Amino acid sequence: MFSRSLTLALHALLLLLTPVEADFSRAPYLQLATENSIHIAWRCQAPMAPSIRFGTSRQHLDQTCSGNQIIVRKTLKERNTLTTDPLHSAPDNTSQFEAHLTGLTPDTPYFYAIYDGHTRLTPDDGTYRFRTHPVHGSKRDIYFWAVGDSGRGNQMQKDVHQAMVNYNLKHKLTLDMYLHVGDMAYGSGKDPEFQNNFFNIYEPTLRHTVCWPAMGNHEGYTSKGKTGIGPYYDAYITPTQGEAGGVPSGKESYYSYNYGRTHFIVLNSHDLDRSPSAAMAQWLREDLAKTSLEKTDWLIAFWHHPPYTKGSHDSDKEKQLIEMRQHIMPILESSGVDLVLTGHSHIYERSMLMDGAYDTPTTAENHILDDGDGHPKGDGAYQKSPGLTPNQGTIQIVTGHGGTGLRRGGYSPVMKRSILQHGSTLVHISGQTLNASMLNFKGEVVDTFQIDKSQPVTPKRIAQPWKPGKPTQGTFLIPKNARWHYLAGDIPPAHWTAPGFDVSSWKFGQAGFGYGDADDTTVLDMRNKYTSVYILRSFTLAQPSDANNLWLSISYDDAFILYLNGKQVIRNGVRKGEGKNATGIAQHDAHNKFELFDLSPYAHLLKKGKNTIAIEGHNHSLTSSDFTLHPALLLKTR
Amino acid sequence: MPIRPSIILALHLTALAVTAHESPEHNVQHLSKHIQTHRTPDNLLQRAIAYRALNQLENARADLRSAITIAPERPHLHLELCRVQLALAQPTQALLSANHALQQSHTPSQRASAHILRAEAYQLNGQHQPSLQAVQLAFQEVPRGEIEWFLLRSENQRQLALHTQRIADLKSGHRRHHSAVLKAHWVDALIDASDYKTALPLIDSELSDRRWKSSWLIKRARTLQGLQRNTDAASALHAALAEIRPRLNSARPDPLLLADQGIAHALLGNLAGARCCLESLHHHRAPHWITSRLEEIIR
Repeated sequence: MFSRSLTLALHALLLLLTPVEADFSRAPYLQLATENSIHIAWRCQAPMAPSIRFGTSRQHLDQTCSGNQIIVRKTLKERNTLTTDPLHSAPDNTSQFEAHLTGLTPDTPYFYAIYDGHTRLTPDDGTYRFRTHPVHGSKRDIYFWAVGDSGRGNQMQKDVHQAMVNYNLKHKLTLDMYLHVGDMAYGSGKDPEFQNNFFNIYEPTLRHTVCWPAMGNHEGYTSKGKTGIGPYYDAYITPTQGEAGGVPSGKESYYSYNYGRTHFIVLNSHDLDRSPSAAMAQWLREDLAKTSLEKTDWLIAFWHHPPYTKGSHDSDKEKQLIEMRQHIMPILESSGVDLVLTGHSHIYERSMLMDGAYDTPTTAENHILDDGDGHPKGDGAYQKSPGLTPNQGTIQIVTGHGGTGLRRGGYSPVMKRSILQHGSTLVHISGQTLNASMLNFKGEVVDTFQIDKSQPVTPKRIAQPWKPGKPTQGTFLIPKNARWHYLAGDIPPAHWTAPGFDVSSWKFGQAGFGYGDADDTTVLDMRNKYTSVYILRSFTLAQPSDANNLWLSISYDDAFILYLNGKQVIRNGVRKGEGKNATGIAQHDAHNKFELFDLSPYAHLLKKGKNTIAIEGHNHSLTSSDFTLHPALLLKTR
Repeated sequence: MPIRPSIILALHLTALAVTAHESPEHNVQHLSKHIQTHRTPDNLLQRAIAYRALNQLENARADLRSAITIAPERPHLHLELCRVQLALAQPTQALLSANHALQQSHTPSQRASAHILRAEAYQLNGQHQPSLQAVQLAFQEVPRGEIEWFLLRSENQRQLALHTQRIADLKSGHRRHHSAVLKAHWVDALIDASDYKTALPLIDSELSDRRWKSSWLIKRARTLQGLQRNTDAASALHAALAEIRPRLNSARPDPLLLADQGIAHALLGNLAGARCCLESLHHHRAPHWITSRLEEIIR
């Protein structure tokens, strides 16, 4: 039995060991990492004596950052005798602390804790950690997350973030960095909007992963790229003097940095002169001219306004987009840029391997070097020569689908994928191979491509490359009113969508399937009995490239899930689950019309010869007045 | 307590910003409808910004003029109009707008912005002395300045052959901003001033770790010519041309690369080649600060 004094002593010890729930008004986040340093910033609204203890072991935080290694910033009206740059805006009594941890070992994991005097403020849960950059030129994999147009503070933004977290947990992956291509604090980039729509949402990631930012137009309402003043510039610490590699830009709004054998370039496409003779373009040339061929294999650039898009913005009409294409892309491509990430347009678009498409309007003819899907299991990876070779092709990704409302205005002729789903982009570079994926808000990978730089190649320009967009002419591989095997009023076995499934016990009938609205050939007695119908059949692809031109044409009421060779590819109007477990069925009227769905993103699931298509149709309710499921498969020829 | 107009303006702009998530075309459409019943300077300014994004500069100018008619006391409207007029290559009108902006400005940064736009307007008109004075006034308002101001001042000083001051100002700009661009211009200023001995070690240090060397090889060649080392200069120029040739996109040439090619030809005595580059620069509407360097060497 414990004595009372021992209990008290233990209690006191426990109090000492338990971290105080810190009153951070902006939780700790990492900034500007280099091979041997990093910045950690946070905000509090109460006075504190700040220090950071850190070390390579979670149990032994044996180094300290304190005193003048931590600068304190306040707003102009509150800063009194402080000589540090004032904050543009912040709530009353805010102190922003920016700690500069130096003398670190390259490519090394560290743990850290923030202290107020002797009181530990951050919990000892292993999540307050960072890893220094590898030495420039050293061979090390990179894995990073890119997001754009996300700062709404809404559920979708949270879902996109959580999808990335879950994906990394599932695959045991750790981010090396996080790129934000702008519009991180809607509507006007004010300080509370940064707090609510960026820092609060991404806090669990920001505490252990550096976010490298590019300024968006919404931040531009309150922050100015010319002066480096505003909430955006309060929030971020970016390299202006070449601290992380690259040449000094002297500006926080455009900069560059190295990570292993990759050089990153960040530009301000919003409020600086984008002309080829302006200061930003002059800096870009200098930076590219000094990118070491011996130490660099990959060149990645990111900014906000996309050179190519037909999403919620049009790169053939808008000045900033046109200028980035006409003035900046030639400089980047003539130095061998591999990947360009942008946002602004609220959509996911991903190009073919392209070079030299600077005209307005954008044309693809003779500017596409590989019009395949870039999928290693589909048309194969995009090929480039090792190192940084000029004009061997760039992949453009518009990743403006991080949380705000999506819209498509059309199809850009250079884009292989144009997907109207929320999500983000994950990029993994290993040696001579770059793999990138679009991860949607549900955690599904809906696009993947690879760039392979293992062999020297001689690029060839394609005079008539593959064209994206809805078909204007085509032939039916499965015509309307085709006959399908179907199962109605029963539940199929789990593997019913797989190729080779035995359908001999299923009925065979002519599409469309349904009841109640006089548009069905095979009329079913569903009403008040069951809500789901399963249909399946095979189709033949004469050549593998046909898979890139397939479209589903479908009349449906209310919802459906489509499978190709056993893999789920389209979920339309079904929130969760499959078959009998499907829930959250949206209402949708067929109106005797057929809608088109692009199946080219799933080309890698198909093969030459026989393939299987399976569809489960769902009605909103048992008592619904009608149901329609009438698919056809179209091969686009124009 | 009555709400101040500036607060109303801020709230209104915020509301507009919140809805401004569509394309500029949608914004024009939305604002045009709104302006039918609320023809305010803020709505007109927002529509002008959307028009600018669509490169519809005449429409932007018309909206800004209307906005100024309603609220002539707002300096940012005059500044925005001045920017549009500069984009339209109307320096005289731009100068008037910048002067109006200056009269209405209340803060150092507003006054500095107005002076810089005045300087740009004067420069566009080929008036380098008043342009230089205007930049200096901007520096008086905001001594730290911006990288672009240093470049603008340097170009005026170059045109006016104020070499010593130009070198000193660029050096101080480089010290303050650590910009690689200011460093390159500073070295150019040293060469222009025939200070070859200071320039050469800076150039050689830069050349030691560059992937693309042509622009600094040309700086080196100009320096070597100044030092009467003509054979070394020629070999630097040939090396520069060899690097430039495969990098030039004939349909859409990089103007600085094209100018470098022209300068290299001119310095090698190939005036026909240099003139060809100059013609191409004019054809692609390269700015005066780029073409004038080549023109001087050709002369």
